[in-house]
Amino acid sequence: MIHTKKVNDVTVVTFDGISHFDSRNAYRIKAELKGMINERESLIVMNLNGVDFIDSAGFGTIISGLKSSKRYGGNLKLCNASSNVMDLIDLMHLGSVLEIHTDENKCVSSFSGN
Amino acid sequence: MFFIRSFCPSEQQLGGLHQWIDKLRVDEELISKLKLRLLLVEAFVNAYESGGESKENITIIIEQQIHEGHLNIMVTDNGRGFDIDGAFGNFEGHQLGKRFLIVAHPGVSLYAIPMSPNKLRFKLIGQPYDDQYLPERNRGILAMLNIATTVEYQYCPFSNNYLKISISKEQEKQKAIEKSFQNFGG
Repeated sequence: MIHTKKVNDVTVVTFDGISHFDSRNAYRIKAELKGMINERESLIVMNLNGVDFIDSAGFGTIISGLKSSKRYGGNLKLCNASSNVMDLIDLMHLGSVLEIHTDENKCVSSFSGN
Repeated sequence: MFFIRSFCPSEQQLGGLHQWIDKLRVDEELISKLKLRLLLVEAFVNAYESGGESKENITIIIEQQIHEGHLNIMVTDNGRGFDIDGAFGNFEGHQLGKRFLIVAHPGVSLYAIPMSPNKLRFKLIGQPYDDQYLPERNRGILAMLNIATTVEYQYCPFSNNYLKISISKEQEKQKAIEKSFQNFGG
């Protein structure tokens, strides 16, 4: 399912073997994200490497994680989005809501600038 | 040209749906594979999530009219139907007319039962997203409205619910022109 690692204070989430982030896995991932945030300041990077399709349930999970982390002073950012995922973000009008970086290092280091 | 396929109403069938979409040969000028995938996945999930205990199949019919520049998608199910009394959030439903069930007992009676609440056409209102980003309910309809020319729903519980998604190349062009004028006008 998803894997996490810590880089300084940032939690990096990777999607191993998940090419479609949709209603088959979105609710489990949402629960895992909720556990990660757990009412404390959380800095999260979602590394979307290997993900080729996200439906509204997947985007709902990302937005829910973003809202929860911001509520406690944290943030959630994305990196390594494929061209299909970028097109879907555009289709869903979420480009202005989500912060997306080209690679994981840049995404992690962007938190230190906040 | 028509493409027709039935699926069992379950989450596991999404994999089969993706495989079917991979093989579909649709005119990329009418709709990209990515947009079609998003529309079909959202419509399918909508059908099985509103299907209740229904064990009946979900049938998807795609009608492609390349020369006319039209693509119609019908997704039918026999479940309890979409909760159209639920909060609509960022879109509204326009009632398109009552539907009646005609019950005839020859020589005894003939009467019509209104099939409420009948047919709805969804329309985005205001900004696509506000602070209620992608709520749990109805977000699939929001996703479809971002792509399709029209999205209609015929509510006929345990009989023949259907969602009809239409894409018209000409109307999409018109929408794009109107949008660019709106952006230009600030």
